[in-house]
Amino acid sequence: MKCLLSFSIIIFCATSIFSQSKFEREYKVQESDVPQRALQFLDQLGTEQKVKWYAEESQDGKSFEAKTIKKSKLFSIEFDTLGALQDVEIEIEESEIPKMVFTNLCKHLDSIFLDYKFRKIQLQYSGPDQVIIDAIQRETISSTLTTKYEIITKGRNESGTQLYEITFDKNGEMIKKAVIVFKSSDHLEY
Amino acid sequence: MNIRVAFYFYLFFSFLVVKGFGQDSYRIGTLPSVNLNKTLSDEWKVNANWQSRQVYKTGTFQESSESKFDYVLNDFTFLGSKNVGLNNSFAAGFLIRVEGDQIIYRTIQQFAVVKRYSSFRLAHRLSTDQTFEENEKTEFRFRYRLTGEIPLNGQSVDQGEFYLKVNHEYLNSLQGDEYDMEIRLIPFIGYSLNAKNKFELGLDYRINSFIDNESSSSFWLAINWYYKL
Repeated sequence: MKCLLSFSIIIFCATSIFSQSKFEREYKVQESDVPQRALQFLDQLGTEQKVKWYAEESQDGKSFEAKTIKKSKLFSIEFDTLGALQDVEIEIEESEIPKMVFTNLCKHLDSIFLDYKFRKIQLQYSGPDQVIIDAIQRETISSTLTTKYEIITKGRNESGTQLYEITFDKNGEMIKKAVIVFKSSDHLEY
Repeated sequence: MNIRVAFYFYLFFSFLVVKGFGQDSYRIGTLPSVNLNKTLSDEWKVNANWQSRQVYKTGTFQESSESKFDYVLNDFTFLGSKNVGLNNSFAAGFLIRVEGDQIIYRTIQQFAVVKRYSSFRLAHRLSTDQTFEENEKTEFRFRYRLTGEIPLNGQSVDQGEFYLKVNHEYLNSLQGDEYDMEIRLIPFIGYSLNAKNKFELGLDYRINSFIDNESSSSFWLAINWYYKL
């Protein structure tokens, strides 16, 4: 009887295993899997530590991401499947954002949230390869360089507390705001 | 020190401590479970769990052993959970244990914190429960469990990927004047089939009654299925 009960529960539940869901996957890849053009960019940029490579696949396509450390900062560099540079993200401190930009950015956050806390700040560069390398190595800012700030913040408003990813332009004007949805943690809680 | 490295050290030393206890009797068996989860809103979710226990071998480490199949029990657990803030949740519910002809009831309260790091998740679970059994004094337990999840490919566990999960739990039990402590160490290999299904296979090692040197160990092959409704 007990075995039958157990078996029935398993069979009942097994009918629900294969369901459709949005496809999104990020996984580690070897350097040999990465397009040559992306490797050349990393060589030009110069890194202080080993580069970790990841591939990201979703319904929108595939991309490669390099994670490394340069000047004691964490760099995330994204490329398309041909190795063309998409953007460079550099983790920075609050104090490294120019004062005027930071004031503008905080004004926006004050208007959205009752309370907020920075979790992560990234300086995001996009533009021609050499312009980005110059910005990083020589701190030369060209007019063709696009600078953005991507901020992960824990924000509380009337509807509750959530984690947000908010992108600001070089002047601290808000461009994009998205709620970060956590992966299920049921298997960690129960 | 990196939190992930710190967790490895913690597990290594915990394992040494567990291995250091004297071990007398033991049981070997299986512990399959099905865990159904339903999110009701941003704040509320419910969990239903069925777990059964089968023993295949019992004995003492230095002496005799007996191989005999015994379907020991079925546990049915129902919990309601409320998210508090970003990482925390309170849950409460009950368990019904069917063991032979006997039915045992347990009420459960728990508080869980899930911390998210780069390439790693760490969960703390504090829980209390009260077990009611006919002709027995009520048993009160206070438990703390630390769980680490380590993706085996990439920085987070995506569908079609494997992961390691390790539970380490301390259970304090008080029944009448009798106090006991149980320690559990459960390494799992998990597989995320898709956003709704996760499967885990692990070795559930438990040791109790070691305070008075008459320890009892259990080795369970744990098989878990988590399904999101």
